[in-house]
Amino acid sequence: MREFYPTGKALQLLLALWLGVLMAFFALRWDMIYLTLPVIWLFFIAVAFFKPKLEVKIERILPHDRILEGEIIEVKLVVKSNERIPSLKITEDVPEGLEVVEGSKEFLLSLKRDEVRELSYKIKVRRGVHEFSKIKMSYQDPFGFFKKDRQLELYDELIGVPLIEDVITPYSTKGTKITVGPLPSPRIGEGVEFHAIREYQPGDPFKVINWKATAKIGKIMSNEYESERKVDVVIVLDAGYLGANVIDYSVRAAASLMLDCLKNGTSFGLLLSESVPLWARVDYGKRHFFKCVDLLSTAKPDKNNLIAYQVEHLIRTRFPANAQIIYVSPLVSEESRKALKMMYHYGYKTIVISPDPYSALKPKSNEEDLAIKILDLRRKAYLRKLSSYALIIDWDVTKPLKTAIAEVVRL
Amino acid sequence: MKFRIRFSPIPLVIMAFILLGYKDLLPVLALAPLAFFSYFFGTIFLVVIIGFLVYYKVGGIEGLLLVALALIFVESAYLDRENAPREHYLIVAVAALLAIPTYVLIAGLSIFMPKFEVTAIAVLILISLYLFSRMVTSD
Repeated sequence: MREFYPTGKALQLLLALWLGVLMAFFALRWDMIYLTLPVIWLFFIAVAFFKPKLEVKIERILPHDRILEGEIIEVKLVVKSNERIPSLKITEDVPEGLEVVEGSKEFLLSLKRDEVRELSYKIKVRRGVHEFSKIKMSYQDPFGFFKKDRQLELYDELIGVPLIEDVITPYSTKGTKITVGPLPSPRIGEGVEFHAIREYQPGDPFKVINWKATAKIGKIMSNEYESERKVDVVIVLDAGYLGANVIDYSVRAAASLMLDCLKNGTSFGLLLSESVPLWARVDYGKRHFFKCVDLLSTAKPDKNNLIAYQVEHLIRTRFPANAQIIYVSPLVSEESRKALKMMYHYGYKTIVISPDPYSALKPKSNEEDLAIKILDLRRKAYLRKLSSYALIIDWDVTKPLKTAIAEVVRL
Repeated sequence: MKFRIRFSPIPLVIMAFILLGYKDLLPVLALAPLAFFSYFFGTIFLVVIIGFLVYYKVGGIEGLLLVALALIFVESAYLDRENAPREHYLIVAVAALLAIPTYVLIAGLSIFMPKFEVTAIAVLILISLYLFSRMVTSD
């Protein structure tokens, strides 16, 4: 980038100046060259007194580094000038994923020495990691003869986190972990679900004695309960490009399920299946939740999807045994269907949350409507075929996820 | 194309008033309204007025004043379009009119220093103009 350069206007005037000189010479009245003096003086004044150093400090203020997608936030720029600048143009480098909804990313201002000015504009945040990297400044002298451009490196990061819905995680497996949780477990122990009646064993608490059965049989009988345990949850998100129009819904579903796991104290892991898979190992806690949400924020449709290979590799090496897999995928690619079969063959209980990519489309013509219907029928046929491998929740994205889950799973 | 008129007619009116004394130069004013539309037409007007002054040998302080007024007019038309603050008009006017004392100085020097002929001054101006152009257009 050139730092200081003349504008087209300066070059035009310079050309006029030279034409004046040439006319004086060609007309053999070379002494009349002094007629160009006003132009020379004007140039001289512009260069001598209005050549700036651009001593400007700019600070960018974001309300928070994590913002829910769809929210509108105000970005402030605090500009401080260490010199008098009659005409300064500031262009903010707004990241591509952000949309300016109020104000402008370009500002034209005049600053006095030591003046502090606050500029602002509003943006609508989309999901993803948005990087503000620089601010362009362009000074033009008051007469428009010269320009000076400077780029200020000013890095800020804004993460557009997915919208989170209040949902209840569906399970198709029993609680297998040692820790107490919400799921019925194959183990007998303390719980609320009645299992059977057996003879009293020394050490049983009095509250489990079944007095009616004791009176009937003549021996002291105790109730047995199913213990309720937790299970590890692994969320697998298919970021295949064929489901690009519902990827935001998939991400929201995954984030909502993770929040439910966090509330229940259930450990969860995340596989974000892009060309380079992102794997967050199974863990507990808020910090882990935010780490996973940050990963989800970066999810984008990917052409080189090898989800079946990735799932197989991770099942062999990383997935905990007997984990509940929640597979979020529109199931429109052969690879994604293969991945589901893979989970089944390795003995995992899987629930598929399948956002319907065709429910998000609005047909513009009868032909398009017909095409969508045919594609939807084909997808539905696939879902029917795959229902023997997993419990499938076919989610019409125009409805809330909670409703879609409740329609299929009795909670 | 932006079109806005604020102060630019002032130098034009003064120039027209002076030109009334030079009937040969009056046709130049036909080009003046074009300067309101674009700076390019303004520079053409400036070149034409310098050409007429050279051709009809209208030099001296009056010739210089006419060029200065033409320049102030062209620049003012630009500043009008840009909605510039008033002080910018003042700076343009002062910068252009500084040519007159400079000319008086050069003319004075040529009287008091006979060896230092007008040709030498013209060459000096030309060299400074060349150096100045190089300085302005170099990256």
